[in-house]
Amino acid sequence: MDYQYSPFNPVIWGIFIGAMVLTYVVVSMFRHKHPDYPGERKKQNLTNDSSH
Amino acid sequence: MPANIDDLVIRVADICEYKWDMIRNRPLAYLLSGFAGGAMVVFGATLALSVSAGVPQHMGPGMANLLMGLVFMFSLVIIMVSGMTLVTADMYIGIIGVFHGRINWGWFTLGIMLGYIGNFLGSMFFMWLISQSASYAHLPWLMRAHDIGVAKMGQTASETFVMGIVCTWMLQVAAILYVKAEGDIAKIAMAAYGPLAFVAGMTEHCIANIGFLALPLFQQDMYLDAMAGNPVTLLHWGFGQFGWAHNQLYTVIGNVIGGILFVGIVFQLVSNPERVKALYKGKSDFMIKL
Repeated sequence: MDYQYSPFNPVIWGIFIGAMVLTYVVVSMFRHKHPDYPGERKKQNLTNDSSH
Repeated sequence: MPANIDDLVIRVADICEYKWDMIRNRPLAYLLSGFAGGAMVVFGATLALSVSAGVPQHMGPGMANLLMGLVFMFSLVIIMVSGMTLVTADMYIGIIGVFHGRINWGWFTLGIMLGYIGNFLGSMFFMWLISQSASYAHLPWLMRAHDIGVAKMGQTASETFVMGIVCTWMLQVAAILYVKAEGDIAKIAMAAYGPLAFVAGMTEHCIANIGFLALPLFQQDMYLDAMAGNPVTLLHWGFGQFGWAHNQLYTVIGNVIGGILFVGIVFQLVSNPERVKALYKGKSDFMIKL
């Protein structure tokens, strides 16, 4: 089946989902490597800002 | 002297904090800024249509692209200078904000959605106004708008998708360099580069396309009357070839990848985490308005 004009193109959606997963993984690995990033204010956010 | 990349990512995080503070506490104001930003984008589309009618046939398609890019340049300048919202910029701003712990994934997603809705309304409304005019109802502009619609909406999903990625890769590099630059002239030059590149480069921008491709649809009846007896390609609002929704869908997801992965994440990872942490130690203000 030709998906080039379908809203459900599996290759493109696969690439998009893969890119979003990659984004999440990159951010998670960064946080794991730098747990105290970016520094003091982040700790303030954790205690004061209920949005996090 | 332009800020270094470590200063830059902190500035972007501060901008993120300002924007998402508005999203949390003043969502209607944010929606309005999105409406204004969406309209400002299609100021450029309107000018691009105006100056390029008849050009491909008489001066070559490349010259048409150049003219369109030149008149589109200042769309991003006025958005950045006014501080209004363009969702494609929010993509790189938000992901850097996530890295810096300023926002979480949920707020990032909600902010992008709200920005898109505001931009959609502004872009669509402005181009609807244009479609009600007499100027753009003359044959050269009817034909040019329709030709642009056919070219963009006739692309396959993969063609649209890759040009969506390329668009925000180019455009958001310009936008982040606007933040990096010091001085009005440098900032204007950086912001002007983005739309010039993405328009002259024939790429796909979701907000520009909302209005750019809605115009020939709003005017299609007039176009068909003007072309009576000649073979025409019919455009439509839905999915499938020559559909507005078909172009918009793959442009949006391409733009998301271009802005987040190739701009936001790249600049963040190039910055030095230790220097950023050192800069945070002396920091007292955590919000910047563009």
